[in-house]
Amino acid sequence: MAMATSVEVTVPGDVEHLASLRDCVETFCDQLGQLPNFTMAVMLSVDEAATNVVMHGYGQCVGDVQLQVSVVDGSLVVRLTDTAPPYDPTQAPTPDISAPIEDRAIGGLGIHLIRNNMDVVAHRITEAGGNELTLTKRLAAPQGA
Amino acid sequence: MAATSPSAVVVPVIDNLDAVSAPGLERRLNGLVEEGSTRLVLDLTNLRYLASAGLRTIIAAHRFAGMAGGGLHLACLNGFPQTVVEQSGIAGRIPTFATVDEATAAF
Repeated sequence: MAMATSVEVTVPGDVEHLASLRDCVETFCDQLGQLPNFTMAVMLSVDEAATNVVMHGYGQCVGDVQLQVSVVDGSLVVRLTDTAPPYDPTQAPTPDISAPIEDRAIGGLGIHLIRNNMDVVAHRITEAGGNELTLTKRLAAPQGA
Repeated sequence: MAATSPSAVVVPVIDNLDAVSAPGLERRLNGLVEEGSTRLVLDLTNLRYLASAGLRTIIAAHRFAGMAGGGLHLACLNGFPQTVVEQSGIAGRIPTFATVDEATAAF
C-alpha cells in the first residue's frame, strides 16, 4: 500500500472533535514508522493548539479547524488553520514553571508544551483573516534504514 | 467509583484527560472536597493521554484540597502522561507515588 505523504481533515471547532484531530496525527505518524514518543508529542501539540482555537478563538463565533499533516524535507509539518479572530500564540508569555505551584497562575501551559515538543512554531494571519499555525518536528530516521 | 480508605479517597482516572474530560473530573474532585473528603489520590495507572486542560484540573484540585486542609497525591503516573507532568514543571511539586497504597499512606 502506498503511504500517503500528506493528510488533511476539517472538523467543526468544538472540543468534541479534538480527539479526531489527535487520531489523524496518530494514524499518520504510525504509518511513517515513528516511535510512540514522537507520535504522542505531535498529538499533544496539535491538541493544545486546537484546544486554544476552540476554547478561545471560537469563544464568540463558530468555525472549522483544518488540519494538514505532511512530510517536508525530513520533517513532519503540521498546519492548523481556522477562521477565528487573529491570535498569535507564539507571542504568549512563557509561564513561570519554576514558581511554586500555589503561586502559579492556572493556564498558559498549552503553548509551553507545544514549544517543548515541536522544533519550530510559526503563526501567520491567513488571507481570510484567520490563523495558520505551523508546527514542525524533525522526523527520526526510519527504522531499519 | 471512588474507593474510600480511612484516610483518602482514591479516584481512578483512565484513558484520556483532555479538554473534553477535564471539566467532569474537576466537578467530581471539587464535589468530594466540598463533601469533606479533602485527601484525594488520583490513580493514574490506566491514564494514557494527558493534556494541559487535565494538568490544570490536577493543579486546581491540589490547591482546593490543600486549602481545605487536605491535599492531592498522584499514584502510578507512567508513560506519556508522566512526560507531560515532567515538562509542565509540576513534577515534584504535587506529591507523586509509585503505588496507590503509598499515596494513601502518605497522608
